[in-house]
Parts: sequence; structure tokens; C-alpha cells
Amino acid sequence: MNGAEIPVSYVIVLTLLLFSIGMLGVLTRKNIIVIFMSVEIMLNSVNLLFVAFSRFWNDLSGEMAVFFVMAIAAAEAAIGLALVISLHRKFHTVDITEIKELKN
Amino acid sequence: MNEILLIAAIWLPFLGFLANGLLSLKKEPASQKLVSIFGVGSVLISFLIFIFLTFAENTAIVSQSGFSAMFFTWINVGTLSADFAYKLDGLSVFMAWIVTGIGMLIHIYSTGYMEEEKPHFARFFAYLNLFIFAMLHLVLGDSLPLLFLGWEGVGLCSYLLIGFDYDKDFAAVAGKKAFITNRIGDAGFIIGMFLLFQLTGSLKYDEIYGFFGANSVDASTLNIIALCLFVGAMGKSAQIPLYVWLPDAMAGPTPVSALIHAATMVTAGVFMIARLAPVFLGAPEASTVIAFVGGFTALLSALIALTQTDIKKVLAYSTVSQLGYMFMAMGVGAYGAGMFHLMTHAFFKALLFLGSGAVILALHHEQDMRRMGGLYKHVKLLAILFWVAAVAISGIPGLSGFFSKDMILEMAYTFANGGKILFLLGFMTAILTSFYIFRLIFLTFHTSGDAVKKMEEGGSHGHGHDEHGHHSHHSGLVPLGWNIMGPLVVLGVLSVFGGYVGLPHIITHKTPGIVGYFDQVLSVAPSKAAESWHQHIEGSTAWLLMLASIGVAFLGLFTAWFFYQKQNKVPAEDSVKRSFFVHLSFNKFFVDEIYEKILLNPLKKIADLSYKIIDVKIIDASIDYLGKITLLIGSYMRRLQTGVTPNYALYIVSGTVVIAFIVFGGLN
Amino acid sequence: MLTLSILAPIVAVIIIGLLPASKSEKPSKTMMYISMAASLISMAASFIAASGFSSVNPDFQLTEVWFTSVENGINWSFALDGLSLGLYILTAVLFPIGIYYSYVSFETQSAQGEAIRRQKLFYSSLLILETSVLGVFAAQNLIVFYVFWELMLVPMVLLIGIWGGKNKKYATIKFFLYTFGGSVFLIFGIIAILYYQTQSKLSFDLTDNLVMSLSQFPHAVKVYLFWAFIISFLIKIPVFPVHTWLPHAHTEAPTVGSVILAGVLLKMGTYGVVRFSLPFFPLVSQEYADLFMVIGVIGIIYGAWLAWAQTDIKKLVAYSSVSHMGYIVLGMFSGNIIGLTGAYMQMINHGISTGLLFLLVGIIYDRTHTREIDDYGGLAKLSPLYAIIFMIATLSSVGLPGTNGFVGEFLILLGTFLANKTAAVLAVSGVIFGAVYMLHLYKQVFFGEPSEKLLKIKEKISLNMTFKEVLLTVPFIVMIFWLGVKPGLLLDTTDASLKKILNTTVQAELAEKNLLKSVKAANIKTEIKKTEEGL
Repeated sequence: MNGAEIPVSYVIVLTLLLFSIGMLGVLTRKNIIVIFMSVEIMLNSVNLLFVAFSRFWNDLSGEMAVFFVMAIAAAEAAIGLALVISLHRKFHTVDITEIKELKN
Repeated sequence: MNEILLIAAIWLPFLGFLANGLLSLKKEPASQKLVSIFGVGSVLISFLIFIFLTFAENTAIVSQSGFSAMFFTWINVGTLSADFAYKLDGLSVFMAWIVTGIGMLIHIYSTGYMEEEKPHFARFFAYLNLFIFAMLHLVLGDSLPLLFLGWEGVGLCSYLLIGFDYDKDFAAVAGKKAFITNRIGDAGFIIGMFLLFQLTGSLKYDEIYGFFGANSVDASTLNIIALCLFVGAMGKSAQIPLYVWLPDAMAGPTPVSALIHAATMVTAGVFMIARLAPVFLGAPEASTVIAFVGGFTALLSALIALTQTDIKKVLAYSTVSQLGYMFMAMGVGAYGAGMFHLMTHAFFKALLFLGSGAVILALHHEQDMRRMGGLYKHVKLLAILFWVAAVAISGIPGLSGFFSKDMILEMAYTFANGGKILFLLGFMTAILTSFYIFRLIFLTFHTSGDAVKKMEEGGSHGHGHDEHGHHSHHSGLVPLGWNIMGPLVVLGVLSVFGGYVGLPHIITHKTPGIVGYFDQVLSVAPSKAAESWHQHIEGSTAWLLMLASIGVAFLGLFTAWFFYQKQNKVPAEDSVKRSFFVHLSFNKFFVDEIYEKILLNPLKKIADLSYKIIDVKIIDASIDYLGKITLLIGSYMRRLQTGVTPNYALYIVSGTVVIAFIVFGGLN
Repeated sequence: MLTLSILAPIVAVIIIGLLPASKSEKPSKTMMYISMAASLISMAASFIAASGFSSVNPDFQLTEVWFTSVENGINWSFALDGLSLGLYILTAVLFPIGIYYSYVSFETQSAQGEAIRRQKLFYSSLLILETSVLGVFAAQNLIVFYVFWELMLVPMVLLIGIWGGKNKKYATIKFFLYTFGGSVFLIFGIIAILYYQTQSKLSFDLTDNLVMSLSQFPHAVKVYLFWAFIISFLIKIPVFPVHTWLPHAHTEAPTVGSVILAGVLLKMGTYGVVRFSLPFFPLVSQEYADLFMVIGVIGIIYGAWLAWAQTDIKKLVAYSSVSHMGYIVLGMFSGNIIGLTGAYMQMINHGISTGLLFLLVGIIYDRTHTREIDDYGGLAKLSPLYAIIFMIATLSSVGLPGTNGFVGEFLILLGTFLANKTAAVLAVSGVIFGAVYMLHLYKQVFFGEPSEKLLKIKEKISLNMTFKEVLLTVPFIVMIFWLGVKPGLLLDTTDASLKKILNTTVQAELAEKNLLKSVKAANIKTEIKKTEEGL
């Protein structure tokens, strides 16, 4: 490999930032679809970390895990979007604060 | 064999109680004959057995250990053991004679007195028999717990009999008062018993005597024990400050007053002191206290008796006063004299009470002496018997009371710790005694008034004693049958001759018979043990004392005659304002009122307040508040549950962060 | 036999459950017969079992083992020793009386035109209660004990909550929370024993092994455990200041509930103290003995005063229970055989005398429907036999010699006196106050002229006791006098076991002393070594 490797700590900081952005998005946004996208960001930040450590340890199992996560994320996106659509059908809104089914 | 007889003598009255108790449960009033047979018969047989045993087991009885009989074990735990076992020794046989003998006479009397109380006849005899049973346990038990069983048992009978007319409020209240006042004494008695147990390791008389025979005990220890036990005697034998129940106890039927509240139960305290002679004779300071309490009680109650108008109240206070004499004797170590007075008092006071009962009965339940007078013409024999008893109690020479009272006064005079003051107390009481008893005689039997006429005119006068429906026709005296007069005559004879067992030494130049007897039979000879308590006096001084007490007896008689016979005074009606001292005496120095104000009412108030405030408002409420606080916290916590999903997500995240800190925070 | 007596009520519950549901509002004879049969079988079985009891043996006997599990130390077995025999028999005798009384009471109510509802549940609750109480006393294993201890709560809550008086919900919740709160401490204590135990396999069987392994715990742990156990028991007894559930529960509970509650349920607390606290933590209990004596004395006097202040008969009797339980606490912590025996005697006595008092109050309440003392008066004239029986109960309650109450009280006071004079002298005042409140009650209710209210009621229904009602009180009266003059009947059976409990204290003391000695010896040795080395 060439010497211009990115130090793993940079990647960790990046993934932390990405994860935090995603989490803030989940906690603060009202639109379910945006929240959904934020969850994807969080997933991808973790993926990134997997890849980085995989490189760092020279162990491919991290990258394998990433493939799994991507596959499952795809499935999840499909189901999630379906759920969003059914929610919209039921409540006629995608604003999460309007849906208070957890109370009572 | 004789053991079985002794047990039978004690338990026969119990069988009488069971039989009469069952009869009293019947819907129809039981046959009075049957009840009388059970009631009188059981006590009569018991009395006969005691006579037999006294002669059959004479040597054992007068010996130190006495004649004992074991029935069955009672309490047996650790080192404590108390059995239903009886001890017939010189002291207890003396008491057993009085209890069953006078008890039998009063039972016979009651068959006449209670004749008209048809629905309650059996119940009355059941209680009386139960009383004899308990009293026999008191005097014959061979251990303190068994004495205490009798002690509380007679208290129960007293309670039941005082409240015999339970539908009358004053009777019910008086019964309750008697029981509770006695319980105060009993509390002291229990502690005394415990102290004695701790000291001697046993509560059986024989072992206690053995302990005192073998060890010499510090007077300070014994003083405390003696005082605690004396508190018990204060309650049972009506001494200051616990005497207040006895006058109220007159709410009971008159035979009860004679048997329980004059002749037997109230003397239990005196008996107890004689029973535990080694304790009390080893406690000189406590004995002095006892003597003075007795002296003051004698004087105070004699003062109250002066102005009472209820014939039974006079006798009640007279009893308290005479009991004071007995305690004075016991306190100065003159056990023989105390027991002697106990006996003579039992004779003449029973006679007085039964006689007053006869008067009351004859006058259709009239008890107020202001409505009596001139009865002598109508009931001569009764009046003569009354005179006998009055002469006996007042200390006029020749009759029983003179000998015993004179002996007490002389022993008090020679007592080293303030004997002169004691003598003065007793001396003043003697004047008062003579006065109030002859006042009673004159007001009742003489004076120019005529009780029969007064009764026929007066009708009801709101005294509450006339509520017996069957007395509505007031015409003439109720005739008194043989069963009423018979016991009176016997008691009259005893009152005359009963004193000759204790002729004074200045006449015979010997120790009086009864003193010698108790020196022999008690485990510690009192006159030897208490010899150092007394100063020696010359024979001439003794003569002088005797003459003085004879003088005051006649003085009392004369004064009473002067006021009530010569001047024909009748005590004022309740509505008339009394002079200060009469007011004080008539109202019993307001002791009852004082007790109520400073003891009873505050205690009740504290009880009410501690319920309403401490229990309800503080303890219970604090638990309720604990519950309310939980609800309150809940009502705030509930707001966290918004139903808005991101909020829950936020909780999850913050929870995770906190846990992460807890788990990983310590890593670096 | 023990198992039979414990399980018979449960079998009856199943049978009653299988009965067809009926809409009838008349008292059901069938259910009464089934329940009576079960409780009588249970009683007979316990008598038969007791006949084989040897009073010289201080340990558990008549053991019946069902499942043993060495793994978790929980053996399902029943057994009795001198400590539990008396209470077991008392329970077995009280329940048939309670069940039959309930039926008699239903009849009286029905005669007055009241509807009797949910009898299935009523009898079932009573029977389950019987099983659980018998189980508590026969349990030979700490866990088994706890299971029955908790099981008791369910039927009792139902009894108060469904058939109670006006304020039943409040009383039920209070009763439940208090008792349950106490149980939390108990289960905490049991778990803590597991946590601290050092043996590889700890058995919860109540044998000397358990006592031994407990004695090796560090002292501080023992103190915590002691409190965990005793708090739960004290609430159950109950002592001042955790007594306030009792008056509510007693007043609101139906008569049979009050009888059982006073008769045996409160004894579970005192039984627990003698069974667990004293032998498990002998030195700690000795350490705190003075504190408990104070609690006992406060209970005696405070309970008596409060009883005096009551205007409700049942509440008065309930507070008298607080006072009586104070005596028991005093006796238990006196640390000598006289006091401990007295405490045990008093447990039985209180069951008899207070049980009888509640029964009697119930009998008259069925007719008058009032518990206010002021509504009564002159009852002795209207119902003489009732007055006599009530008097006997009163005398037993105030501890008149010749009744059972005296023996217990006397022994407790004497035992306490030998241990702590001040406490005894204060406690003796309870003798006075006891007479004050009981005679106050008796006078107000029975003496004087009959009150108008009673006269009015008398026109509708006879105030005299029926034959059945008199019959129910007979066992109590017999026991009052029998134990009063022949207490040996009971005391002989308990003597060996109680002595053994006191012996654990003595042994623990000795062990402690030896330990101190050996520590001291070791210290001296090391010091000697040090000085030698220094030289």
C-alpha cells in the first residue's frame, strides 16, 4: 500500500460526526421520511467505521459485516417505506408529533 | 384423708357456686329453698370441716409448717412454681374460722334478706359462694400466686356484688370503681411479689420462711418490698389514698357489705401482712409508714363518718376507720393486737351491718337516718343487739372491742418512732368512733321521731332506693324472720365474749392469750422481733391509758346522747346550708372530686387526645401521607408519557448515555 | 396427618368451585357442610398428629417430607415442634368455629331479609386462609414459610375487601400495603441469606445447620438481616408505631375475619420472632432487647389508653389487641424462660380471649347493626347469658387469676422484671389500664337501663343468644378456664423448644467469648513476636 493512508482516528471522528448528525435528525425532525433518512445516515456511519477498522486490522470480517448491514438496510428501507405509506393512509400525515398512539 | 377434707372444704363453696349459677340461668326463678340449701349448705359443711380439722390436726396446725394439702399443679415454669396447694396453719385456720363462720351466718341471713329479690336470688347466692371460695384461697393458699388468685377473686366477687343491681347506674359505677381502685393496689402487690421472688427465689410461703430463717436481709431491701406489698393492702383494705371505693361499695346489698366490705375481704391486707411477717418485721421504716397511714386513715374516715346521714355510709366509713386501727397495730409490730381487732371487728361490724340491713329491710329499703327514729319500740331485740355492737366498737369496757382497741392504743403509745402521735391519732379516732356510732343508735332507734310514721307519710323522696316495685305499699314494718334475727343473736354473743381471748396483761399479768398464740404460730414471733421497736412503760401508765380510752368512749356516748336524744337534733336536710366543717365532712373532704379532677379526667383527656391527635393525625396520617406522596410523584411522572415518539427516543438515548457513563465512565 | 390437615381445606375449595353457580341469596347449607367437613377433618387430623407429639424433644417432629430439592435448598416438608404445636392446634380449632359462625350469622342476617351474596368465594377464601395459616405454622423450611405467609394475604384481603363494612376499601388497602411492605423486608432478608452464605449448598430447612451458618455471618450483616426479618414481623404483630392498620382492618372485617385475624394471624408475627429472629440472631436480639422492651411497654400503655378512648366496640377490642401484643413483645425479649413461656402462653391466650370477644361482638352486631358503644346499655337485662359469656371474655382479657390471661401476663411480667425492672414496673400499669377500658366497655354496654335503641331492636328480633351461638362460644370458655388452672397442658409441650431457643443465645454468647479470647490470644502472640523480633 502507498504511504498516503488516512489515519483511522480521522475516520472515527468522521463516523462519530455522521452518527451524531443522524441521531439529532432522528430526535428533532418531525417528518417521518426525514427521520428514516437520518436512521440510514446512522447506519452508514457505522458501516464506515466497520470498513475503517477492517482496514486497520487487516481483517475482512468487518467488510463482510458491512455487506450484511447494507443488505438488511435495503430490506428495512423497503419495509420502512411501506410502513410510512400505511401510516400516511391511516393518519393522513407524516408528521410524527401528530401521531400519539403511544399514549393511552 | 384429712387432706381431702381440707380440699373439699375449700372447693365445696365452688360447687355451691356452680349449682346456684346454673339455677340462676333458668328462665323461671329457681326454688329459693333449693338455692338456700346449696348456698348455705356448702358453706356450713365447709365450716364444720374446718372445726373438725382444727381439732383433728391440732398439733400440725399450731406447728410452724402447718397442715398442708396438695390438690394439683398450677404454674410450673423455670424456677417459678405455684400449685393449688393449701396450708392450714395457726394463721390461716384463724382466718378460715372467721371466713366460713361469719360467712355461714351471713348466708343464713341473706336467705331472709334477699327473699323478695326473686329473679336474682340464685345469682346472689352464686356470687356469695364464689366469694367464700376465693376468700378461702386467699387465706389458705400456700403460695403468693394462690393468695393473689384469691385476692383478685374476692375483688371480682366484690365487683359483681356491688353492681348486683346492675340496672342502677350508681351501683354499676361503684362496682367499676372498686375493681379499678383495687387493681391499682394489685399492681403494687405484683411488683412486691416479684421483688420477693427475686430475693428468695420462690413464692411459696414455706420456702420464703426458710429463706428468711437462714439469711439475714438488709432492711432497705425489705422496706421496698414491704411498701410495694402494702400498696396492695391499701387497695384491698381501703387505706389512704385508695380507700375511696369502700364507701361507694355500699351500693351492694347489705349482707354483702357485712360479709365482704366489713368482716372478711377488706381485712385481707391485714392478713397478708401477718402472712408475710418476716418481710414486714424486717422492715422497720416501712412498718412505721404503715402505722401512720393506718392512723391517718382511721382519723380521716372517722371524721367523715360524723356527719353522714346514710346509715350504711356511716358504717362504711367506720369500717375504713377500724381497718386503720388494724394497720396501725400491724405497723407497730403488734400483730397479735391487729389480728385480735380483725376478729372482734368482724363480729361487731358484721352485727352492725346486718342489723342496719334489718332496719333497712323493715323500713322498706329506707337508708336515710333522718327518716328514722323511735324504732326501739318496734324492734326491741334488734335495738338491744345494736347497742351491744355499738358498745363493743366504742370501746366501753367488758365487750370485745374494748380489749382489742385498748391493746392497739397501748402498743401505739409505746412505739418508738412517733408513737405518741400515733396514739393521739388513735385516741382522737376513739372519741369520734364513740360519738358517730351512738349518733347512729340514737337517730335510728330513739329520738322522738317515729320512723314508721315518717315512712308512711314520706312515700317516695327521690333517694332512688324505693324503686323496688314490690315495696309500693308502705304500711307498717316488714316482719323480720328467724333467719334474720338468728345470725344477729349469734354475732351479738360473739361481740360480747369475743374479747376474752385477749385480756390485757395489766389485769392478768400474763401475755394476752391471742398475742401468745400468734407469737407461736407465725414464722417469726412478732412480739420478739418488734420488741426493740417499743419503749417500756410502767404499769401505772398503762392503767392511765386504759382509763383515758374508757373515758373518751363514755364522752362520745354522752355527747351523742346530749345532741340527738336530749336536744333532739336531726341532721339537716340536704337543701340546708351546712357550716364549713360539716360541709367538708359531709362531702368526704371532696376526695372523690379531687381524684376525678386531678387524676381521672386528665387521664381520660390524654387518652382521647392521644387517640385523636397522635394516632389518627400523626401516626396513621403519616402513613397516609406516604401514600399520597407516592400518588403526587406519580402525577408528575405521568407527564413524561407524552405519546410523542421522538420524546421516547430521546429518553432511550439519554438513558443509554447515562448507562454508558456508569459502565465505561470508570474505565479511564 | 399434617399434610392432610393442611390440604383438606384446599380440596374443599375445589369441590366448592365445582358446585353449580346458584343465584340463591339464602345461606347455602351445602357449602357450609363441605367447608365444615374439611375444617373438621383438618382439626381431627391435627389432633391425631399432635397425639404423637413428644414434649421432651425440642426439635421438629411428626415430619412429613414431600419434595426435596437439594439444589436450591427448598424442601417441601411439614413438621411441628413445641413452638408451633399450640398455635397449630389453635388455628385448627378456630377455623371450624369461624366457618360455622359465618353460617349462623348468614342465617340471622337472612332472617332479617338481607341477601347473602358470593358465598362460594366467601367459603373458599376462608378455607384458603386456613391452609395458609396452618402452612405457616407447620412449615419446616424458610421458603415454604414465606410462601404460606404471602398466600395468607390473598384470602384475607378478599374477606375484608368484599364482605367488609362501610370503609372497607380504605382498610383493605392499608392492610395490604402494610403487610406487603413488611413482606418485602422478609424476602429481602431471605435473599440476603443466600447472598452471604458461605456453604456450597445451603438448605433453608430450619435446622441447626442454618443457625450455624448464619452465626458465621459478619456481625454487621447479621444486624441488617435481623432488622429485615423483624420489621416484617413487627408490622404483622403489630407493635407501636406500625399498628394503625389493625384497628381499620378489625373494624371493617366481617366478624369471622376479625376472629381469625386476632386469633391467629397476629400470632404469625410473634411466632416469626420466636421462630426466626431469636434463634437466628441471638446476640443481635439481645443487643436490641432494651429497644424492644421500650416498644413493648409503649404498646401496652398506649394501646390501653387508646382503647379507653374508643367509642366503637370493635375498635376498642382492636386497640386492646395492640396492648396485649405489647406484653408478648416484652416477654419475647425478656431473655429468660419465664418471660418467653409467658409470651408464648399469651399468644394462645390472646387468640382465645380476643377471638371470643370479636365473636361476641359479631353475634350482637348481627342483630343491632351498630358498633357504637353509646347505642348500647342495659344489655345484661335483655340477654343475661350473653352478658355472662362476655364477662368471662372480659375477665380473661384483663388477666384475672383463674383465667388463662393471668398466667400469661404474670409470667411475662415476672420474666420482664427479672430482665429489666423499669420496663416491668411500667408494664404493670397496663394491668390497671386493662381493667379500666374493659370494665368501661362492660359497664356502658351491659349495665344501666336498656337503651331505647336496643328496646326497639328487641321488638323485631330476640337479643338472646341462640343455642348454636352459645355452642360456638363453649370451646373458648373451656379453654379460658382450663388454661387458667392447668396451664401445664400447653406449657409442658413448649418448654423444651423454648429452652432450646434460649440455649442458642447462651451458646452464641459462649462462642463470641471464645472468639474474643482467641483473637485476644492471637493479638498477644503477635505482640510477643513483635517484641521478640524487636529485641
